[in-house]
Order: sequence, then C-alpha cells, then structure tokens
Amino acid sequence: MLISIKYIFKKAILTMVFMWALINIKAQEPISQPDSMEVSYSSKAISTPFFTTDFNKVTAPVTVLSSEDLEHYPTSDVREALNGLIPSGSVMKNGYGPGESNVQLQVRDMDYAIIVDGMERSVVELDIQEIESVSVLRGLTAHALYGSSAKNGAIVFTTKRGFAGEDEIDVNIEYGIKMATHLPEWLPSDEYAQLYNQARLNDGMTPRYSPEDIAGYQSGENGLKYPNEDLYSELFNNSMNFTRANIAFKGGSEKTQYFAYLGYTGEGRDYMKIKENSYDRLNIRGRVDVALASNIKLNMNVATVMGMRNVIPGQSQMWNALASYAPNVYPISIAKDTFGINQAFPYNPVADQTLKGDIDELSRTVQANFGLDFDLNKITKGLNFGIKGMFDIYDFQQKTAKAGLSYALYEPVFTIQEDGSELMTLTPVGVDVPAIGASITATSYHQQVAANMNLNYLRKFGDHEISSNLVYFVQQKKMRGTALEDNKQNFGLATAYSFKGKYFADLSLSYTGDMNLSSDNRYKMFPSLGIGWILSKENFMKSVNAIDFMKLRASYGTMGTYDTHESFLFRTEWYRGIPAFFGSAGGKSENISTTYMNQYGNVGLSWGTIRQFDIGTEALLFGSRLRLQLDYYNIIKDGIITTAVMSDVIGIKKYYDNINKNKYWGVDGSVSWSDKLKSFNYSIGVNFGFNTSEVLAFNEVNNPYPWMNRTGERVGEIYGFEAIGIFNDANEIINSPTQYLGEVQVGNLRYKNLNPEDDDKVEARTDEKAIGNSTPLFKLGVPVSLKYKNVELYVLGVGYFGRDLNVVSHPYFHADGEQKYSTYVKGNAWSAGGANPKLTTSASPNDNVTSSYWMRDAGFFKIKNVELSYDLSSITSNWTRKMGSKVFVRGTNLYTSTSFDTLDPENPYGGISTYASMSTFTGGLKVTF
Amino acid sequence: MIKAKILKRMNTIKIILFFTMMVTVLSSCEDIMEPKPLDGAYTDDFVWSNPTYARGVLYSSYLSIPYSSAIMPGSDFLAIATDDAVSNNLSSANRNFSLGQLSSSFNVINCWGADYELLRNVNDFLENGLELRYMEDPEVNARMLDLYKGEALFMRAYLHFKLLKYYGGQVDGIPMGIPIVTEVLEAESEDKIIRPSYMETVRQIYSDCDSAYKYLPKVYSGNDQVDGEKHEGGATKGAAKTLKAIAALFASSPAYSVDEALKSKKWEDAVNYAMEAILEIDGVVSYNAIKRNFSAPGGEDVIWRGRFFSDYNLETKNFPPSYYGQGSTNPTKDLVDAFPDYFGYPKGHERYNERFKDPRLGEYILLNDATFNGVKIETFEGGKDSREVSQYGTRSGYYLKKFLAKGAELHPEKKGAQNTFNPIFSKTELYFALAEALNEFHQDPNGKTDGVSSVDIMKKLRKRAFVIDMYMGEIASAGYNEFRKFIKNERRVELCFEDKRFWDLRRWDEQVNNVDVHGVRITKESDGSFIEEEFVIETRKFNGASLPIPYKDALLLENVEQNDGW
Repeated sequence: MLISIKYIFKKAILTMVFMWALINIKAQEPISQPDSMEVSYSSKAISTPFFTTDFNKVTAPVTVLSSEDLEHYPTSDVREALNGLIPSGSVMKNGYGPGESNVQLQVRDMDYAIIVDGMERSVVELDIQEIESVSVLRGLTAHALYGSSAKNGAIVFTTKRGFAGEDEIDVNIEYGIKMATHLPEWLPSDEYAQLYNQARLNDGMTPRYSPEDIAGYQSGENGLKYPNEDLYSELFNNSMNFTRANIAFKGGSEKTQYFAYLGYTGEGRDYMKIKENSYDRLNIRGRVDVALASNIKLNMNVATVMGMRNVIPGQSQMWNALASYAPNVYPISIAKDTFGINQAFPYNPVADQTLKGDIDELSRTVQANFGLDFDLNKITKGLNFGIKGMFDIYDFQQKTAKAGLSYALYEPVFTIQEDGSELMTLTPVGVDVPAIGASITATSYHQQVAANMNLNYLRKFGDHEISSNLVYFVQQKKMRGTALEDNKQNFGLATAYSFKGKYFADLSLSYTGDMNLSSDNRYKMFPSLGIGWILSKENFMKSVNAIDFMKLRASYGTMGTYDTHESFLFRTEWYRGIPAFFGSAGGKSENISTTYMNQYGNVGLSWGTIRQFDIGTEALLFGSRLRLQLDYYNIIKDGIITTAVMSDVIGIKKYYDNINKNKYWGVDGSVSWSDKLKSFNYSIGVNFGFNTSEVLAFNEVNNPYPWMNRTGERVGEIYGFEAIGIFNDANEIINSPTQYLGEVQVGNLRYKNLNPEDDDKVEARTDEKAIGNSTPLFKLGVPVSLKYKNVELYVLGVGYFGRDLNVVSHPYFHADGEQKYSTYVKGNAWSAGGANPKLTTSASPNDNVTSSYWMRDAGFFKIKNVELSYDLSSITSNWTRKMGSKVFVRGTNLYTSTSFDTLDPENPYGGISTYASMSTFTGGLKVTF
Repeated sequence: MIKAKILKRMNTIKIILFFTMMVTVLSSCEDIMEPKPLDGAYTDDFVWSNPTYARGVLYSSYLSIPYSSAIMPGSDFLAIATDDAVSNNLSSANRNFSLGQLSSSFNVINCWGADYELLRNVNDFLENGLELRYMEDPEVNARMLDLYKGEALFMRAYLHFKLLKYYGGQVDGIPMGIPIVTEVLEAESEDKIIRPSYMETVRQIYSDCDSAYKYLPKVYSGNDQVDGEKHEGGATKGAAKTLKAIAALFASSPAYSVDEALKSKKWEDAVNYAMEAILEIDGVVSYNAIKRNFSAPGGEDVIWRGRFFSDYNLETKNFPPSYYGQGSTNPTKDLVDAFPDYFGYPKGHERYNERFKDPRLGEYILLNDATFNGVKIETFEGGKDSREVSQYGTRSGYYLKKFLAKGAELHPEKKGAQNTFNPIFSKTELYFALAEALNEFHQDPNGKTDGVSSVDIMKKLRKRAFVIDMYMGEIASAGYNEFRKFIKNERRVELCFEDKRFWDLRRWDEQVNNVDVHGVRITKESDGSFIEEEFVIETRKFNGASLPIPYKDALLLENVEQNDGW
C-alpha cells in the first residue's frame, strides 16, 4: 500500500519535471482553431443545480459529458454509459436481467446526488438521447447551493431543448443481442455423487451413493431414478435481444423553441425458455421554451415513461435453487405437466414457470417542470428572476395471471418388488388448487413536488465581473401507504467575482434543513470559498509556448451531512410488541399487549460536518493536443451520525450521536492526447482516480489490541482471521493454538494467533484484523478514438484495482452441506491435494468465517465498450446539410482480464444467484436531417 | 407611453408576487419540515397517558421468559453445556459455547443487553405507569394498581436475579454482583454504573421480593378482573417468596459465599426463606411426593411458570431421526450413570443392580432398544438412529425423552401435541433448596429447624421415584459431607433438563473446565445382545466459572470489573 503511494508520487514528480522541460520547446500549431480568441479548457457549459456557468469560472473540479459521449454504449440504463468517463468514478453492474437496474454508481467512493432538470430524480429510465449534458460536480463550490442532499457531490443531468435555427430530426435505430459471459461450471451428477461421498468420508460417515448409483448417473439411462439435471439450461437461453429506437425533433425561432422525443428500448426477448422475461420502455418528452414577453420566458418540460415488464414467478426461489441444488436432487420433469421434486429441495423452477401464470408489471412515471424566467434589467441591470415548479408521479402495478394457483409435484420413490423388479411410485408433495384468475398483486405510488426560486445578478464593471445567485429550494416527497415523507428545504447564496477574466473568487452560503433533526438543530449555515487563476493569461506566460491554457484553482468549504438511513433520531419512539400471554390450560386466558422502546431520541443530535478541500489545475498543452485536469482532494466527515457506544446497562436499544469521523483523500483527473496525421485523427485519454480513506474516529470501545480498531484503517475494511494454511495432521492441531471457532479436524483451516504473548488460542475479535476492502483503490477509464476518413473506431477500457471480495459464502468457491459443487470446488478439493479446506456434508464453523483464505483479488480490466462507425455525412449531404449521420456496430464487455477465477468480478454472483453478465453486440444507424 | 411601461413593469412584479405566494402556500415553510408521527410509533407522552400502552411497558418484561426450559437459541437445552448432555449438531454455535468458544464477545445465552432493557421498562413503568387510571371503578383500579406494582417489583427482582445468576461471579476471588438499576438511567450516564458485591445485589432482590409480596395476590382464580384465573402465570406471593429463597440459596453457595464468618448466617437465611416460601404455598412443610406433570401448566408442582403453548418444536428438535426428529439433545453416559437402581442404590454401591434401573431413567431418557411409540430405538452402530446412518443420529447412544410429547407424531402429518411450558420455579426445586440449606446450616443431615431435617425432605423427594428406597437409611447416617453429595446427585437426576445443572455446578464451585463427557458405543451381537463401550465424546472448556461480562461493557464501564478467567 505504502509502496504504491510512494510510487505514484515519484511518477507524478517525474512527469511534472518532464513537462516543465517541454515548456520551452517551440510553439506548435493548434490542432483545431478555437472559435474565439479566448482559449478555454472546455467550451461546454456546466449545469449546476440552479444555473449554468462556463468552465473558466468554476473553482471546483467538474467534468462535463454530452450525449455523444454516452451514446456509444448500448444499454437501457444510462448510468452504465458513465463507466470510465468520470475521474474517480466507479460503475458496477450486478445482475444483467432484462431491465434490471442493479448499477452502483459512485464518485470518489461516495454516493452523489443525481439531479435531473433541477430535482433529485432517478435516471434509470432516462434515455441517453434525451440528455443534453451531464455535469459531474466534485468540488463543493460547484454543488453547495443544492445543500445537504448533494453533500458529497452531484451528477447533474440536463435534458435537451430546442434552439433557434433550422429544424432538426434525429433518428437512431439500433438492434442487437446480449450474450451471457462468465457462466460458472458445475459438476454433473456422477462427479457430484463421488465428491459427496468423499465429503461423507471426511465426516466419518458411510458413503451415500453406491457404485451402482454412480454408474446409474454415468449411464444416464434411468433419468427418473438417476437424475442428472441442469436447471440453468432448462430455464435460460444464453442470449437475449436488445433494441433501441428513437426519434427527436428540435428547432424553433427566437421566440419559441421546441424539443420532442419518442424513444423505445426493449430487451430480454427469447432469454428465458419457459416464460417471457422481458422489458420494454417507452419514453416521451416534450419541451417548449416560449418568450411570453420581451422579458418573460416560459419553459415547460414534460416527460412520461412507461415501463412494461414480464416477470417470471418465484424469482428469488429460482435463484436460490440454481445456486444450491445438486443436479441429482430430483428429475425436473416426469411426464408432461408432471414435475419432480424432493422434499428436502422443495422448489422446482421449471414446474413453477410452466404451471404458474404470467406476471406483468407496468410502471408509469410522469415528470413535469414548469419554469418562468424574468429579465429584470429594468429594475436593476443584470438582474434576473426565475421560478420553477417540478412535479413527479410514479405509479406501479403488478398483475398476476392464474393467481392463487398451487400445484402438486411428485417425488419418485423406488421400491424392490418381491419378484426383484423395481417399482416407482410417485409421492405427491403439495396439492392442486385451481387458479382464481388474474389479480392485481402489487401496487405502489409516490409523488414528489419541488419548487425553486432564484434571483440572479450578473454584471460587469470594467475589469470586474460580479455574479450572485440567491436560491430557495423546497421539496416534498410522499409515498402511498406510509406516513414517512422526505422533505427538504434549502436556501443558498452564491457570489462570484472575477477580475480581468484571470482571477476568480467565489463564496457560497448554504442554509440547509433536514427534517430528521430536531427543530433546534434542523437548519444550519455552511459556507464554502473558492479561488481560481488563469495563469496562461498572464503576460509572463505568453513566452511559454507549450502552454496554451492553464488554470489553477482551489476551494474549501463545509457542508452538513445526515449520513444515515435512520429517520427522526431525535424522537423517542415506542412500538407495540408481541402480546404477553397469561391464563390457565383449558381455562380462561388473556393476551396483554406489550410496548417496547425502539429508539431513544437524542434531541442534541446535530448535523455532521463535511470539510472539503480541493486543489487542481486544468491545462491545454502543445497546441491543445494534451488536455489535462488534475486534482487533489481531502474530505473530512466529522460527527457522522452513528450508534453511540453506550453501556447496555442503561437499557437503551437504539441511540445515535455524532461520533464517527472519516477522512477521504485522493488524486483524480483526466489526461488526453489528440492529434491528426493527414486524414488520421486519433485521441487517447485516461480518466483516473486514486481514492483512499482513513477512519479517524469510530464508535468502538478501547480495544485491547491495535489491530482490532477500525480507527486508523480505511473506511469499510473487512475484518477476519489470518489463515495460514490447512491442518495436515492431528499433531499440528495439538501443537497449534486452539481455535475457538468450531470443531477443528485435519483438513480444516488454520489461523494465526495474533496475540501469542497473552493467550494460546484463536478466537473471535481479538484475533481478527483488517484483511481487505471491496472498494477499489484505483479507478481507470481509457477512451481511445481512431478516425481515418469516414471510419472511426472508439474503444473504452475500464479498470478497477485494489479491490477484494470475500467469497466465504460464495457457492462457486465454497460449498458445504448438500450444496452443489462447482468445478472449482472439485479442482481445489482437500482430499485431492487442493487448497480448499475439506468438504463436509454438514457445515464447518471453523472454515465458515471471514478469513484471508477467502479473500480474493477482484480487481479487473475490461474492454467495456467498442464502436466502429462509418460517417454517412458524405452520402446524406445530398439531402441534408446536417452532420452526424452514421452507421455503426457496437459492443460491450468484450474482454475481461482478472484473477477472479472464471467469474466476472464486477458481477461475482452472475449466473449463480443473479442474472449472468452479458456482452452486447449491436448494429444500427443514426441519421440527422 | 411611460404609463404603459410602468404598467408592464407592474405586471411583471405581479406575476412574480403571484408565483412567490404560490410557492409559499404550497410549501408553507416550517410545516413540511416537521415530521409527522410514523405509523405504529408512539411518543413518550402518548405511552404514559394511554393505559393499554403504559401497561404494555410492564408486560414486555414477561417476554424475556423462555417458552420452555430449552433456553438456548433454537431451543437447545443448556444441559448440552454441562456433563448431562451433548448436542448432535457439530456445527452449532450452542455446542461451541461449551467447547471453549465462550468469550466476552461470543456468548450464545447472553441476556445482558436484553434484560437491562427490560429492567429499564420496569423502572420506567414504576416511575410513570402508576399514575394512570386503568379501570373505571376506583376500588378495582386501586387493586389493579397494586397488582401492577407488585408484578413490576417482582419482575425487577427476577431480572436482577437472572442477571446475577448469569453474570455474578468472582473478581479476584471476591464474589461480585451485577449493576443494580432501580431508576431510569439517562443516555450516556455510564459514570453512574457500578458493580456491587454479590450480597448487595441479593439484598436488592430480597427487598424487591418483600415489597412485591405485599401487593401480589396469593393465587389467580375465579373471574375477578384483577386476579382472576385468566392472569395465571403472573407473579404471586408464593413466587415472590420462592424467588427470595432461591436467591438466598445462591448467596449461600460456596462460589458466592467466601467469608467464613457469614456462611452460617447465610445458610440460616436460606433455610428460613425456603420455609417461609413453603409455608406460603403449602401451609405446612411437608412434601407429599407430588406427581410432576410437565405437560400440565396448572399442575400441583408448579410455583411460577412461563406461558404455555402447544406445538411440535421440542419434538421436531429432539425426536430420534427414525421418528422424523433431529435428535438434538443427547444425554451423556455420565447422566445415565447418575441414576440409581430400582431400590435407590447409586452406581458403585456394592448392592447396585445394573439390570433394574430407577424408573425415572426410562421416563427421562430414551435408551437403545427401548420401545417408543411402539417402535424400538436403534442407537447401536448401523442402527436406524445411529450416527453412521443419519446426520441426526445420536453422538452419545441416548436421546432425550423428558418434556417430549410421548404420543406425538411428526410424519406424515403432525398430531398428538401436548402443552409445553417453562417450570421456572417448582415445589420440587424449592424442597431441594430447603434440603440443601438444612444440611449445610446444621452441618448434619438430621439437624432440625422447626422440626424438619434435610433427611426428612430427601426421603419424601425420593418417594416419587422409589417404591422401596433401600438406600435412604444408609446415606442418612453417612454424615453431612456424604449427604451433600447425595443431595447434589439427586438434584441432578430429578431436575435434569430443567435449566438447573449449568448454574448449580457454578454456585457449588465445582469443576467446569476440562471436564470430559462420555457416551457409549453400542454394537449389536449376532445373538441380538448389545455390547456397550464407554468413550469420551468431548471435553467441556470454560475459561472462567461465571459467564463473562459482555465485551463492550467490560471495556467501557470503568467501575465494572470483568469476572475471573475472562
């Protein structure tokens, strides 16, 4: 760990020296002529939650992406398309089921607020083509106005709007397939039976399967008596389709602009063999901007999404069966519509999906924004007032056909007749109950209303420019069926000053409120301050030819955090418990209801405080060929709301206080090189993040040994025993420290006693230490673009390194009891000299604990996204002057390099207890006219 | 022209004002930020002004009483952590508990946090719950308040006693109690918590028992709103006296009574309190071989019990595998050997007859070849209930029978359930306490207090088991030390699986660490006879005699020291 940090610093210093040496090299021709005389790091506008600003002015690290950056990625979930494009960003997808939204998106290892058109909204069902830009605001001065909801940072999505100019129509059509990858291999029945017998032997028990049984499994002739089933292949085809098609109209005049969008996304057809498991989505959006008067502008943005899913019945039971049932537990099918079962393994997904009715889910989302902008130049020059109302509703309904159906399954039982022949009888398990018909089986509804007002002032006085934004934001969120609301209120004032377009300073004040705090502590003021300096505009820099643009900036500020999922911790809450029963047998009795205190309110609970410092630079070098953005950050979260370390004698079950303190720090940024050799354009970039953390205070007692402490370690560290091999013989067990974790036999894991001077045993807590962390230390995105004439190849590699996964309860790596065996379990079987502890048919508590043995390096590098396209502009120029038409083929997840065995470390349970990872291959057409 | 401009400006201002008002009205600032009460959550004020909820705070304490005497999580008997039994589940945490894994951070029977929480509830009720009006009629209300007060004080005594039984122990050889809590403590008020001596804790229990006694009814019977039969299972005067007597027995026991000068006085108290309890319950100190019926919650033997219920939990858990059970609790050879023979002679006695066993043995334990529900038990090697055949097979050669519904069937359908309950205090136990205290106080089994001697009590207790007790006379004259051993063994046999032995071993200061427990390997000969071979199944390991104070509090509380050995 220490070595790698040193290494990075060394490299960084070397690089800087190298760069300074290059500065005196002769000036190069810029690769592209800037539009204006002003050179800027990026011409893209930054959308903060309440206003738009340009790149030069911000004093915080910001990344801006446009829909062109994202559309290479064929997905129904836009978050996937952000993979590798955000410095310090991590995007992990767990489970690739049709329309599944198991994507974890973090920046600098923290959850950022996702804001769509001014309000926190889900982007799961947002089409990439609806998006104008995505601004990732990492620095506090950029997102402070949004208050505590965006305490860690914000990812601000802005949807498209019309423009004054010739009408434009965009059409995208894309079709392809997704194919399962990284499917684990499991043993067939005969090999399973042999290995299970070995496990019985390990336990000192007689084998369960006779040689005849094993021969029976091998021959496969009597499938009813000797089943050898592969549930997975009975249920899944290993591919599904994927379709994206959309059309957008935009245009308008000076007075009125419009944007209209219709999009369809669908996937999942032909994925499952028995029931359709699919997802279809229709996105419709319309936006109009109208100048009502010369000084009043109205905008309306209404979007609706309809999501339709065909869901398979019994999904969680299916995954449980797939992850654990051995291939010989039952014959899946005995005759047509007669399905097998085993009382010990009581779920047959093939039967369930065949016999049960379809489940259809329909979700409807409506999002509406209405805004008015007033130009108040007449009152004071440079004054502007905006007011915006936002209204979302979400409605969900699940309909199940053949509701109430239950059915009998049959367990084959074989008995030997008097004449020596074998008779199979079928024991029914369960009873047939006919269906009552279709019924609504689930519904939900929630609504969210928000409003904001902002008063902007922007004015130039000679070399001085002053801008000021006063913001009020209020939001109310309600869900049907619960009194729990999530309401927010926030006041903000951001003032920015710049001098000669070279020096910048800004101050933000955020007065933020959280209903989870008592009225005395509910609101608090958090300031932040930033400064910027465009060095390259100074005269003394004019002679440095290699530098076209360079800006230095730093910001520091504080923000409030209510970093817990617990609500209303200031209130004492009592609940009703199960009743106490009194009475005599056969006589009178009474149930007296009981009351218990669930939470003891802490009225003194207050805001946790984030103190964030960012320093960084943006630069364009060598004729803007080299673009770089580099940042260092240091964030301290102090007074994090955590359960208090309180004596149990006081008798309070749940009590929270401001206790923990964490430090997060790291380096991130992006570097890219673009150049052109005759008709060949290329660009290669790196978006990276090195992110680490340290616990400075933790709600723990004064532990007797330093390695037990969370304080001083990285946040989220996994604690466990240090495995030092396997016990090879009885003497080793006798001569080793006693392991008080469970029965220890030859073949079990051996652990290190961390405190040999105090005792001669290995036991919970005192012998557990930090052994890994599942948060990647390094994040890497490598976008490469090569363009020759009309042909362009785009390749995106992503990497996550310094990441460990605990596989102690991962069925592929570790099986016990009656669980099925993987090829890994067989290949590493102790009885055959493998590294795993010995197999058992019960469970081994000694081996079944988190230890270094079960930690796996889950770092990986993937070719995440590839696009090969042919620019059609030369053909379409006959009938439209618009640019951007192309035909393309795209792919995702094309290659993975990892040491995580044959599995996908991004989706470690894929194909086991979640949907298998997928590679996507599509082809399509984009036409703009 | 100017006017028009002003008008336009006015319009703009009006529109702004209108929208500002709209937003203000919609949000109405402060209101939306004030959280509403959650569904099912109640405030302090609500609870202490609403009789049903206030009373509920008191009655939550009854929920701490385990539903059966199998008090470990998952309904294992604590006997599996003693020399009486082993668990057949090799990977169970309950089993590891007695194999050395017990530590301040691993304690499967830890009740420290849960019981102090209930103590808080009881104290909260005593402070806030007695000012409410529960009944319409003032006279009935007054009686109801008395009952609640009595029950609250009793539960406070009981919870202190339970915590004392679990966590009381020696610190540097001095018997220490557990923190006494008789008021509602503020959050983060650790500095107020101290660990008193064992005897101080016991005195607090005495005092609460005495107070509770004044308020509690003698029995729950009839249709009375306050003390009618519907409230059976609630605390009674007899329960309060018994709790005091049992606490006195613990306080006098060697592990918790080290001061030579006080020993005799403590035993005298134990004798007196046990007598008082018996007089309260029976009116006269005379034990007439009461039939003990573990499926009759209203049975004669029961002084105080937990709620009764009827299900197949214990049967599913403990029936042998061939009866579709999991065969969990396997009594040891050591326990089997503790049973005397048919005439009362203990094993090792010259007249002991292996072939005619104490009738209780067959009643409490399932032996190989015994007939159960019409079918023979086969625990011999390769038999249908053996370890080699089923993972639920016995590890000791025996299965549990006590407490299980004899006629219950689990397969194909469940039937024949019986009532199960936890006999927390039974008359049998109380008489055993008196017998033990008398012998110790007089240092003579025949020494009498109020005309009753230890021998008198033991004779009557043994009558339950033996038609002809040929050993009683002999042991009665063998002296005080031999008689103590005799009482201990008899107590072990009679009260087996009633959650007593684990605690008895500790209060008697007997060896609990490095104790081998035994089973038998049974082989079936070709002539159908059986050969038994004794072997060590496992070894009990406990670093300290008492349970350790839980990790967090042991480190956090400056005035609470950890028990010896931890």
